[in-house]
Amino acid sequence: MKTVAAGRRLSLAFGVGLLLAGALSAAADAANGFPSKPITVLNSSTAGSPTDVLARQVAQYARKSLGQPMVVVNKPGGGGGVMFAGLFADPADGYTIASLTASQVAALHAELKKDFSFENLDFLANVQRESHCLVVKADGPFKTLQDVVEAAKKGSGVKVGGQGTGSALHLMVMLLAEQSGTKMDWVPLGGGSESVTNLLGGTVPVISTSPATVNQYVEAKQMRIIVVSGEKRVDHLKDVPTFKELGYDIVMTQYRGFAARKGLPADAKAKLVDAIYKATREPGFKDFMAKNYQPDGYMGPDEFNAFARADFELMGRLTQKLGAKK
Amino acid sequence: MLENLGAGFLLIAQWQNVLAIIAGAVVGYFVGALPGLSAGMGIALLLPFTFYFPPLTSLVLLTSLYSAAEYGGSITAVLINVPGEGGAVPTCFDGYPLTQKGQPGKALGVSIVASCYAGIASTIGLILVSIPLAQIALKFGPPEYFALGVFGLTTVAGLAGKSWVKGFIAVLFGLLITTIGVDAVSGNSRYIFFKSLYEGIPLIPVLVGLFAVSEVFLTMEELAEGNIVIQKFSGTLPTVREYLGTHMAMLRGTIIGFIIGIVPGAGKAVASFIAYNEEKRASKHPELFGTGVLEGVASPEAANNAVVGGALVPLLSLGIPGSAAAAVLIGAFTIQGLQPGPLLFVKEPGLVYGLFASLLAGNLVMLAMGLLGTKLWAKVLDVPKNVLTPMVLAITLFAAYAESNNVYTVWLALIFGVLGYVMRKCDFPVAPVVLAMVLGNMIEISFRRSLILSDGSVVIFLSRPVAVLILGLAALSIGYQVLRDLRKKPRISDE
Repeated sequence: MKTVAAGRRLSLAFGVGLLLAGALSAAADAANGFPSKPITVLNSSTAGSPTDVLARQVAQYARKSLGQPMVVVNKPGGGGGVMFAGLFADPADGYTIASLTASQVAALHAELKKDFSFENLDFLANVQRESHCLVVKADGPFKTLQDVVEAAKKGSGVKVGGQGTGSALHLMVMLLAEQSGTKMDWVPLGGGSESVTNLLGGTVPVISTSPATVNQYVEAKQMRIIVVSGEKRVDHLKDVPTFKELGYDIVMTQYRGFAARKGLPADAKAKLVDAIYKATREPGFKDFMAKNYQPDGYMGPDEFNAFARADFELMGRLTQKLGAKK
Repeated sequence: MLENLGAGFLLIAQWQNVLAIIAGAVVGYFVGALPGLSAGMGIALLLPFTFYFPPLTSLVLLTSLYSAAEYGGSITAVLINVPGEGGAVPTCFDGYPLTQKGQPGKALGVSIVASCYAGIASTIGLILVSIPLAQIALKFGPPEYFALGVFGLTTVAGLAGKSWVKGFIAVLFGLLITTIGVDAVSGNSRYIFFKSLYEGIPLIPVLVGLFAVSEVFLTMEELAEGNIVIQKFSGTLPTVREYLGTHMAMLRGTIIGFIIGIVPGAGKAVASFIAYNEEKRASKHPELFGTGVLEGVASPEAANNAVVGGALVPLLSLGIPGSAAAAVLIGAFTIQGLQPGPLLFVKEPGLVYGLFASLLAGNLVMLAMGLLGTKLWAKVLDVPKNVLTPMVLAITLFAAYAESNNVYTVWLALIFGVLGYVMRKCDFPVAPVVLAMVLGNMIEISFRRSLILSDGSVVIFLSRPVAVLILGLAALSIGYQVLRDLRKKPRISDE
């Protein structure tokens, strides 16, 4: 009996020792601080798309202050669903974050609603913010938004192409049709370059897209941007009016930033936000933004959370309103 | 133009660029040879490393990888009947029978020469006519894509094997699979019973399941029954005469691949299926196709690699990627602060011509590696089947896993493996399933987009010349097949 008890005591001591060792190493971990291993950045777009390139640029510069690499992993598909599934499959410890845009967040109103919730996202920092725009062919029949609206009043209306169904780009066109009392048919296309092909090839006379997608075609005088959707005009497109200036109540923007699963430790959140902020201040990063005609759209966590919520709610109202009419 | 190209060669003669070409070719060769890793994935994997390279070195590395990966896919197709991706499926049709006859070296030799030939010819095409030909990319609106998809499907008639009905059933099955997932036109979900189905059923697990896993099952069965023939495999390359005999096949394959490569998003699987089918039609002995004829390897392999040059045509002159891999290449340009498109030739002529020069040089590096490797690869087959088979299964499941980094796709591969086994036991061809999966979404989406454009009128398919031309080809393709069958067996009651 004695030996058994002794054995028990021994194993107890051993167990306590193990626990202690575990606690100690955890404490050491905490002292070394977050991050003690690489951070995974999930991205719902394919390698080489604007959001992917942006995430990789930030990752490259954020490494300096994090001391650990940020690894961008592409999880395309399902309108962001595959990325969200990946984000919520990992614990909320800050080691898995997502780079996302308004589009995937808006998708939480539609298809993704039953599986993922906006409430479970914590928005860390925004990096880019830009207008959407409507674009026509430079040598086509339309010169201004007014021309498009006039044409849409007659006959079978005007076809407008762009990425996705129920996307912000789509909703913007539906809003325009509603406010101008005209008929505009949406032709859902696969992505930015498909929109470009279909406009240049004359399949659709107007596309709804982002200035970044068409900048070079505008510069080469093959396309013309006729309106932008932001609050103000865009710096490198001084001649292009906003919807507001033309008398429409449409203000929509695309944002590209980073979010984590809600409930991540406060120190991890602070470290990540700080690293992203510092990355966006690097000269090399500023150079990248300037080359792509992107203004600085940095927002910290509080501002970004509020902004994303406002945008999400606006999209929800629009989806409902236009969905009910359909 | 010639002096520009000369300057381009001088640029790539710098040591770091020479190194980049060789490194790209080596990596591409292995990426291509590993089933499940595609050229696009290879480029995406290397992309982050190119941050730190000068622009030309980075692009040379990635395009060299791109060309070599398109060739590499044929190695497993020929040796073990495992096509690494859709474009390598037609290579199995005659490549694997050659291996079964003990002549893998002949198939591999023809395949590497055809790949290199097509790579160089399509690069020359790219240099000479890229600006005028880029217009082809713009001629393709939704109705044209629909027509191309239908034309692609008609090649099934040539692949169906003994029974039309069974080929047809296989096609319908493949088309049905593509309806799973989020519908790209309306945004509704279809048959999404659990989250993984959002993106639909991915091609690679189905492909390796139907071809490779089922092959493993069949081999296991043979091993269990003990009726395995010990065979001698030779790595002997084709004779010069045999190479010359496939010259027309390579040329036809190159032209088809180049043109289809220009059409954005049509993809190399369509190109190689159509090339195989056209080769069979042009041949004096179509009945021998599928038993191991060299032209049957040369033509789809040439088409496969000609797609590379073709896909770069709209990429460089319009900024529109012609293929999935080219789309990832755009990322490589953007990372370097370059924008492929109408202004690239004006702003960065040195870079463009350097890229052309590297494509020409890269293909020669690939040829050398391929010819040297042939003997080595043929040795793989000397491994006894009871050792080789489990290895094939492991590689295959790895391929399925690499698709999504998810165990779910491994299960998919196994399920489709069982299905493929049953299909092959019952004499159903499996290739039409793959073809239908490659084309299904393109056909459906472009059909519905066309109808949105025309306000619901089907006249749109008959009012656009390019669409009419392609639909006409599709009709011819079926008509020819029907006619030949009628002539061959006047007694209809036969089948």
